Amino acid sequence: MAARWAWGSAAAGRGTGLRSRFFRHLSHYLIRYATWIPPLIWFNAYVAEVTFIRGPSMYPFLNPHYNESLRKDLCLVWKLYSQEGLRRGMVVTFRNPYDPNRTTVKRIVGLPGDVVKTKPPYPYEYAVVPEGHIWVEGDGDKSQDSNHYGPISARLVTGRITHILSPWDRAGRVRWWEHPLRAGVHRSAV
Amino acid sequence: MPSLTYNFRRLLRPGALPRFVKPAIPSPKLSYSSPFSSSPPSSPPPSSTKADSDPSPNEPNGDTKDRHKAGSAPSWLGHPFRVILATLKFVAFTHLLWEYVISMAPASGPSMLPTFEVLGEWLLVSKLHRFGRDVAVGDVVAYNIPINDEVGVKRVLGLPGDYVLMDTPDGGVGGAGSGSMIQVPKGHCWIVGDNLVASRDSRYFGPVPLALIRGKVIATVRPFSEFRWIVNPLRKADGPSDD
Repeated sequence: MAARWAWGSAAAGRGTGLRSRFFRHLSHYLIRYATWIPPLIWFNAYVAEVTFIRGPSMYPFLNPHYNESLRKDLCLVWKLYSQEGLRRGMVVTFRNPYDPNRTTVKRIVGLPGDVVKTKPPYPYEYAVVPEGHIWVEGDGDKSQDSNHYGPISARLVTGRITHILSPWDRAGRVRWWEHPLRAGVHRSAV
Repeated sequence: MPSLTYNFRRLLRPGALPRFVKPAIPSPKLSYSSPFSSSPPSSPPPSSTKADSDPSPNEPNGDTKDRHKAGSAPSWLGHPFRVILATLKFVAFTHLLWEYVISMAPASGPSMLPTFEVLGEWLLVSKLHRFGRDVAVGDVVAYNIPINDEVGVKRVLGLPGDYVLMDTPDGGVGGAGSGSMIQVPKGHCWIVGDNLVASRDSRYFGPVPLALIRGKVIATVRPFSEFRWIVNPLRKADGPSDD
């Protein structure tokens, strides 16, 4: 659009047959819509994104039929200011500390200062969550979470699951504050 | 076919005001009737019946000249809304380059002292190396500090699988180190500042996830007379070693 005048003058010199005109218009519109890709990437990286949930780690909250069908939940991930104001019970997405190219969904169990009674794979019985870190766990049993890799830095958090979109019966806002807090967490203030 | 593209265009830009619309590709052989050719010229010619449908034969680009005479729209700036959109797209594109290709930022602090000054350093950061892609031991990286919301610059001393000293050898600021070592877990790296006594790094907060690495520092740029590339000082030994 901004380059329309340049594009038009550059393309006007070429053939004017039906075919060439069609391809000229086609390439014009392709380039014109390609200019919307950077704003789209920015929006998806910093404001909101719609994503499918893979795997059973948040069973039964997300993907409750993971072993019965191939259906996956579609969720809205809100990414604006996602690292601020984290609370216990929130469902967050973060970059996996074992593999930076993977994004993982878990529920926040402990905040900085909490003493968490850990689950089996963790080498110690209790863990203190350090400053700037959070303790995340999946709702289900098959979950690789902080009991494997320890407390994670809050800087890894990329977004919050705010809405479930796809299975129509469960669609709606994620009421994380109604989820019962996990037992065995000695909570510091906040 | 031309009428097809014209209808497409009408579909794709439903809200555009006709007085700002101009043919996207000015071509002398557009077969649909442009809205501009039907607009009355500023001084109506005496034979007004044929002036509407076809331009006078001695000027082939009749409709564009008519438009300039009427002065209806700015030449190529278009609708003000479009200028705002173009600015937005340009900013987003620049941001994309800044976030995913290369960026420049000031750095301060004593933790990298022999390599960088305490004040006034401006670093060129290659964002192609974000998340520790193609980062080797000895590279200087910019990373999100895991325990607060700042950005630090340190040197990578260990990658996943490497064994590193957990604290300062021969006693640092906190007294003599215990000399114990750990293996860097997968997906993490061990980063330490060059100035061991004035650096808060992995010896303090442990291994850093590679996902927190923002990029690799490739040069210091300001002042430009002191421009220099930051190269990895580690070299492979040439000859066969003794051990």
